[in-house]
Amino acid sequence: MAIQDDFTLNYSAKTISHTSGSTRYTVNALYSWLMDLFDDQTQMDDTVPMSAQTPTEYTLINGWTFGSDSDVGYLYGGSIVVSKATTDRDVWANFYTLGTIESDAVVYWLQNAASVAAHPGYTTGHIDQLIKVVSAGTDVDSRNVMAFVRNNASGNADLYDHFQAQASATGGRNPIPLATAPDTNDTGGAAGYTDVTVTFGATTVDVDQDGTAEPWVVTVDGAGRTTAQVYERLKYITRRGATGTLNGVEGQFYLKASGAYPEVKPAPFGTYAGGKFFGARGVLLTNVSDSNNRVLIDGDGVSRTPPTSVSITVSGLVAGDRVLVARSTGSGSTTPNKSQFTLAGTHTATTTVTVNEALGNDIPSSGVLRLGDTRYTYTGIVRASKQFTGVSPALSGAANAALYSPLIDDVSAGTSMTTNHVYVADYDIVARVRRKGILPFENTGVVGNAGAAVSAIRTTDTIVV
Amino acid sequence: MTSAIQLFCGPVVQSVVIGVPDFNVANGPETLAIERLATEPIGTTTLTLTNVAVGSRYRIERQADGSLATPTGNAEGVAGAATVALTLDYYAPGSANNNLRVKVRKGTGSPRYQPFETQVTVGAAAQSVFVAQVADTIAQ
Repeated sequence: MAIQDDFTLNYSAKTISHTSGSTRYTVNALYSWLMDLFDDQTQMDDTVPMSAQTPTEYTLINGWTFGSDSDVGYLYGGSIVVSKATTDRDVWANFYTLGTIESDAVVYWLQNAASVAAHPGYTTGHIDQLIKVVSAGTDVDSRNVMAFVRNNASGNADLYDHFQAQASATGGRNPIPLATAPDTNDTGGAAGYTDVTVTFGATTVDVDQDGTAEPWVVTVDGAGRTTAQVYERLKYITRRGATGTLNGVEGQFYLKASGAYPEVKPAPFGTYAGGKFFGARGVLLTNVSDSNNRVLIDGDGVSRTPPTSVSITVSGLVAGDRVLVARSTGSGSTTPNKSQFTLAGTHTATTTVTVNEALGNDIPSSGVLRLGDTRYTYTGIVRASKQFTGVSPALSGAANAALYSPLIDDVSAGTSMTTNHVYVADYDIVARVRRKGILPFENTGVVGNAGAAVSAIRTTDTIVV
Repeated sequence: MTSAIQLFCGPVVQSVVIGVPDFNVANGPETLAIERLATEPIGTTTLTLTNVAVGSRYRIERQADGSLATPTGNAEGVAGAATVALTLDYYAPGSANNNLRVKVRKGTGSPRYQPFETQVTVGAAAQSVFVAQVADTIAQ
């Protein structure tokens, strides 16, 4: 088929219409055909419909127009100004993508906060399309158009990209560079991670626990999942076809948490590399199982790394074993440091215990206290005031009485016991496992930035009765 | 139609319709005057198109309504040479029919040219129009 078979002219209405076929033609082909046609005898009494300013910029003149906007979908490779009147004109700018993209990449358009349909017959790969940027003399979205590529197919998810181009007043042929590649950190399988939530709104949280809360504008609750899973979910909700709203826009068009922030094109909420989530500015990621794997940027653009959380685990237990893990008096020492803290003043049946020593970030926010042989629990901590709160039972003690906070001080319910706290610096521990029927187990260790693990050895006491 | 005012059979003045320009005043009664209608040409003139790209199609039409100039057989064609001399009717001075539009187009086959168009007012004196066609380097 040739262009004259697919396009039809109405000489009285002065319209050019696409009337058959699915072939797309260059604008130059349209122009060339019209120039060839209008030097025929039967057309000499008609005004010429089109002029060319450059090989890629053309104008419909003398009152000629397209029959409908859909006719333009069958053209590419050049822009067209439809000069209906002095100020009433349409400008169809030509946008085309280039760059290295995945073979199955699908480009989609955004203009004036709405999706623009791809041209007829488009499936995948690069695209070359005319989009109206001036309508009846008025600019549409300041003649801006944005192209996106955000594939998130299961087993074939890519890093994302997008680019905005602004057409000139006469349209022009506008390149849009795009680049995508497989995302090795995204399986495309996060459709079921619906427990991960995203909440937009200003908040302040002291992520790095330096005593000053930082500003954040969007909170991602990981629902206890890993940072890797949350990353996948965040890409899923911003994929092509995601119509759920994020901060007022469809997820497939979501760019960033705030207009003034820089964009993170490959993954709008943050990237993933080396097993860590690197958040986009303003994104607070919370409630993940591997909280050490976060590097965040607060609303002021300052990088905030949450303190490392470490675990202390005693394994090899049997339910009913009593376990104690406490800071020791020194390297290799099996003596618990029972003078870790001293009471600040006399305490009489109080649920708030104030000590003389600073409560560092590596003191858990809830746990156990021992004053002498009496075991207490506490449910809160006010580090600035050097206080343990919610102490139970109520505590009484003389001023400067020695007390300490074991890391584990309880009866095992299973084969292991674990506690977590923020890592500040290495310290020495002693671990004890006792139970009538086994020889007392004791070992020393060091809690480092990877935590500590103690494997209890339960040797049967063959003598006790 | 054009009519002639004649002396018929001596002092009788008559007005008869005559064909123009075929009427031979020498063989009829004494003709005192010939009256033409405004819509009838009063003669022919030569309009010469120069610098025409050979193979271009030309059309000479009236500006008022786009109809072909007369005689219509002379008002359109294909230029076989760079100079095209056309014999066209002209009308009484002031007639809109003297205001013509000259169109020259060559969009088929290389070299191609952008459509050319200009206007001319013809009269008794011969006229020449320089056709300044611009090469169309964009059409293919």
